[in-house]
Amino acid sequence: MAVDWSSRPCTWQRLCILVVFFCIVFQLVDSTQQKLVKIEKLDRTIDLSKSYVTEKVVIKLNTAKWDAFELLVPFQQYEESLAHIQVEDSSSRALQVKEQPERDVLYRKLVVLPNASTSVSDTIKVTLIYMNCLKPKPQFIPSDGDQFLYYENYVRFHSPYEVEEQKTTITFPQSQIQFVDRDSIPELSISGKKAYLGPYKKVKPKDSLSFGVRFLHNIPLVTGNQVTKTVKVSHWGWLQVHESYELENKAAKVKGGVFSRLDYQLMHYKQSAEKVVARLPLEARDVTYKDYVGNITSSHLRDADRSKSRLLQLEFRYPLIGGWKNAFFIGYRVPIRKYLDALGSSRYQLRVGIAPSISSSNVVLDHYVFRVALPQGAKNISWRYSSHFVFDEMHHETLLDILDTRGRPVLVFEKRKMVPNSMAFGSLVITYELGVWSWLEKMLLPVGFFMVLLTCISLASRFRFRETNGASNHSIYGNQLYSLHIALSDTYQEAIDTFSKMKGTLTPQQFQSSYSSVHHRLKEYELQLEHLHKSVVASLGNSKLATLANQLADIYKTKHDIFQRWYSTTRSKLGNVSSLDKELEKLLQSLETENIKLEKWLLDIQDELK
Amino acid sequence: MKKQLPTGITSTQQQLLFRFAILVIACFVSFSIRLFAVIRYESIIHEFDPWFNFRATKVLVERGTYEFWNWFDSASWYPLGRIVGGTVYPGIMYTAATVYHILHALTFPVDIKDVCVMMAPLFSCFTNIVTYFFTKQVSNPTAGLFAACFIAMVPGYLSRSVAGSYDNECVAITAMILCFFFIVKSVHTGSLFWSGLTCLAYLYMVASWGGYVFITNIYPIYVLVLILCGRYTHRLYVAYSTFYIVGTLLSMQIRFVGFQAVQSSEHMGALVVFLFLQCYCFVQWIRYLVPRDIFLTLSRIFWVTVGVAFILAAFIATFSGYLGPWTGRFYSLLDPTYASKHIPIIASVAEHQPTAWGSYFFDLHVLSMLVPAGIYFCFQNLNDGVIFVILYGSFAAYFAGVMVRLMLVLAPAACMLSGIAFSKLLVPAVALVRKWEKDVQYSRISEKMESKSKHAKWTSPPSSNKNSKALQILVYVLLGGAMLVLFAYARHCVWVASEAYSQPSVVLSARTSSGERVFFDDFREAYYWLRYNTKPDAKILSWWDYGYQISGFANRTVIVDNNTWNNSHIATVGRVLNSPERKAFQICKKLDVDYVLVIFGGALGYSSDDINKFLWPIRISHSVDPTVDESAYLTADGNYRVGEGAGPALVESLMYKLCYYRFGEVQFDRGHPAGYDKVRGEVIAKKNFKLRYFEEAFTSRNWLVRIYHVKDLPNIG
Repeated sequence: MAVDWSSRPCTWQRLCILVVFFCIVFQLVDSTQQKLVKIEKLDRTIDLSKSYVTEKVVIKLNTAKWDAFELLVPFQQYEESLAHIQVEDSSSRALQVKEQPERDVLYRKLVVLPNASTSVSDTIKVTLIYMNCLKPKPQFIPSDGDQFLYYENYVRFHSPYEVEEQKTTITFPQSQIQFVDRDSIPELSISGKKAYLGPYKKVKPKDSLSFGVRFLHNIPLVTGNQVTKTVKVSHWGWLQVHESYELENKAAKVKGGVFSRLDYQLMHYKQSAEKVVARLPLEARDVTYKDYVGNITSSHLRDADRSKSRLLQLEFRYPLIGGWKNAFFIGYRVPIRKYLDALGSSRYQLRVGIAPSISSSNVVLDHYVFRVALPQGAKNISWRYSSHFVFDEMHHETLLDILDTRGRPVLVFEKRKMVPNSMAFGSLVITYELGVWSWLEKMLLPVGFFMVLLTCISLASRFRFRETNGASNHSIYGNQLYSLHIALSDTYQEAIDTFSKMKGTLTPQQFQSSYSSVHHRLKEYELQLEHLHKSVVASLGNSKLATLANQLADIYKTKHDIFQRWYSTTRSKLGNVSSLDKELEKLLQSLETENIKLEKWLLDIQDELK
Repeated sequence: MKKQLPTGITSTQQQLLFRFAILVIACFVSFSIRLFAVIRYESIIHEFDPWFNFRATKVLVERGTYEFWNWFDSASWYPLGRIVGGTVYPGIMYTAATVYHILHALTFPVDIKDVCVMMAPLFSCFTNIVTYFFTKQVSNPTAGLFAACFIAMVPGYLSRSVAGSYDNECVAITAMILCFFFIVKSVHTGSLFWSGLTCLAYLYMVASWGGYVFITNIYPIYVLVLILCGRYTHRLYVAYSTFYIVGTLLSMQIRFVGFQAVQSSEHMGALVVFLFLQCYCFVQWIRYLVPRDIFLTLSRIFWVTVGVAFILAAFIATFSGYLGPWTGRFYSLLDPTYASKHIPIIASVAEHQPTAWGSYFFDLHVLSMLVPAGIYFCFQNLNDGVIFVILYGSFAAYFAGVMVRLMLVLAPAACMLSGIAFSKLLVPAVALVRKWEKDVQYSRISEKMESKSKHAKWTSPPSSNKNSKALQILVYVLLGGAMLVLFAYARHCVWVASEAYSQPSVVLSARTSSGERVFFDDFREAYYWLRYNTKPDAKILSWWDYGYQISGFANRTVIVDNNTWNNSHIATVGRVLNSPERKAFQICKKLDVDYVLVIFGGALGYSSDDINKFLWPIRISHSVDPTVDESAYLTADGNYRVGEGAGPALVESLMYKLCYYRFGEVQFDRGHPAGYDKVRGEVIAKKNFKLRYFEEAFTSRNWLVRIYHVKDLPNIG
């Protein structure tokens, strides 16, 4: 036979067919040995009572071997509204979700990898949070009209696997519910605020029957188009937090964009947002609420409530009715002790909360930027999350703040689509190194600056002192004037002394001679003064010094006149007096007015000579 | 004579230290008294004009000098636009930008807004210092210190320089005093150095404020007065000639002034005096060369020729149109009633009104009474500098009487003159007191000496006779009185600063019956609404008062603003407001207007709203369009009322309709019926009406600002 087979010319062909046949048979046997992956039971609840949508799916897997579990999210939904996805196993442990890199046109594939420890994870809980998927319908309503929101989804949970049995529960805020084309949806029942879809048996993979529902809900759909939280770390004691918000109310717009204050005061515009609440840490201080044009006075800071935080009630400048926008900032600071730990040898660990302060149930964020500015000179920066929340993007920047010469390293994290109220975001743990010098620098910089400045001033003032002592005409004349004044006043003093010494026997000759010596000296000095005055005027022009010289000359001229007059009167009655004391008193009295002038003059000349 | 103090400081040094300390304290006071605005309200730019300056500063800081010079602002005066670079006094913006860049270079990343807010307090400190040196130059250091202390808080100056009033005046006053100081200094010394500094100060003044014309005119007048007093010197010649030539060239560098500096009539006085000074100098020179009798005939011939040539030149220049005409603002300086008769747009501004007597006392307090005393003391001790102060004081007093806002120019003069008066009154008194003290000491010493050695060498001068006792009482009363006066002055200034002049006028505040402060933030509410909820290229029509604020706060295009350069454009806006709805709509559509904004105080009781200003839009549009008849807006007996019997045109006008739209449906107070206007104190004439061409877009919380959308044209027909 074998020879026979081999002798035939077509034997090789047959052999090949045989091999192929066996291969197929083996393949078949192998696949029947392993059970097909299939979902046994699927329970879905959709919550539509808030401004974002929470979809919770409990999936019971069959006992087949699951290498990975795949989730399919329609591409448009994935891009526009899927804010968060969380998968847990039966013991509420988070499972890792990976995004499939290749892009399908219609779907985004997410792969859930089972934990190494839990080999058989028979139940998987999937929580999907969507935002921006409730659209007002109609888009324009009258000012006192009610708002209806429209929601679309698959009637049966969209999955690549076959489902044995599944059902869906939808929770609405109010009982006014209208399904679009209700008759086409199988097994739909509505009772009160809830609608039930299913149960459906033996659902094929990728079943794509969808439903649309319109329901009454008068809430503002406040969306943060751009929300930034900036945290500045200072090792000198404070953590500065600054948050900026750009909000838009995406609720139904009022026809014609008309806003009537009167109607508003009459409680129309049910979809308007007037205020939000920010939760600040208990020890927050210096809280500010501002916008681009200044303070906003309408806010209240309430004390701690049970949640161990302070509540900042922020009222907007104007109510946000449907379609209106607003922007504002809040800022505060907290002591850094609670947030910064020293790990020894100039290593530090910082924990900062990721979520923004405003986390109200009807505020969702389209774009969230979280910035952490570390102190200048921080090195070897590493960071990790404390929970399973992950930012989309991350990059570095530098920031120049007060007294920064090189700039602070800033870690910038970005996340598209975020629902602050939906989960605990945990905090970011950042570890970095900071040398002692880097954080002393801030203090040493101003100290050094002032030291240099003061040194320069003191040096400069010394130099200037020398110069003025050197060769300034001005001060020379001033000094000459001053010394002349001293000489003149000394002469008077001497004269009075000599006269007061003359007692008892007084001869007119004696009196006259002493007077004339004084008189001559005074004359001489006055001449000098005159000369000086002229030269001052000639060389300095009409300066203060010239007036001063003039004044001095005037004063002493008057003094001299008084002195002369006194002399002539006293000489005539010289015989009658025994002592000159009384006469001298008279002289001094009459000279007094001039002395007052002199005092003023002295102030002036000191001024000029400084 | 020099006393040595225990610490080793000579009395000169002690005096210097003392003066320095007083100046520092004065600066500190002047800075902090202006912060009331920030404490009571917040760090915000005030009023109207500062908002433009702030906006321009932001452009300068963000885009740089060249972009600033080339800045064509298409967001104002739509559709004309405004060439800002060439129609602005850029001094204050450059100053703020410089401070901003310096602070940034010193690693202080401040906000440009805060720099602008703090500009005025900062420059008031500089004014203090400059005033001290100026007064010291013309009188003595004591007077300087007094003047510095006075100007630190004089309400007349404070009103324009509180924190946040980021206006030209806040730097210009400093520049002006600095310029005056250099003028006096250069005339005293005749040095080119000081004259050069005068020119630089003048350049800064020209760059900062239109009031530089005051300097341009007062300096030549001063020169003439000095010549007439026979005080002509070469120093004067050098100082003025340098100033005129270099200063004029420098001032022409400012684009807004440009060739006006040699063409416009306001600047001609300086030129004429400059030429006259050359001739005078020439004649003086001739006098030295020729004998007296020939000189007389020569000089006669010379002066006649010059005079004839001058008159001819003036005629030719005026008729050939080389010389610009005299502007209205200048006429109204000479004739206080000119503006209200001829130019409604000037008359409509509150700060261009003549000053009431009360405001002299309010703005100057005791200084208003000390000024004459100061002038008296100036005449007692006459020198070149003092003559300048007297001239400055008297001119400023006259101008302050013409226009309320020129009180600002008077205030420094009043401070200086009062400083001089105070020093002349107090210094001799204090000197007397000191002397008595000395005498008492002296007599004690001599008593001791007497008791020691029965031979008295020296008898103390008698100080206890009746005459000097009376004098003593008088002196103490004088000193005590002066103290009281100064105390009252300081109290008044602080009160004025905290209550009257610190309002930003963007935020209104009032006290409730329980004494609590409440704020009405309606302006910002509405402007901020515009900023975020209208198209970025929306055009807003409002009366020109709010133009700068809208472009500053809301960043939207406005039709007219506070730079009132185009009268007919403003008249058109006035025409919109005083026309019936249909006609107003047609004009609005022609102007491409999207929103109309009106200020309405009737619900809150805010009296300076658009209804109260409404006669001005009527008058201004009458000056362009004579068909507008003011009497149609008044009641039959010629009163302006909004209630029963209001003028028919008024009730039909757009302004009335926009202000009172749906106002009649609300009862704001229990005591008053619906539609009761709190400002006018009456129930409005027409309550129920509908708007056909406009629709309400926004109304602020207290109905203060109402914004209406101009409806689109109907699609059919």
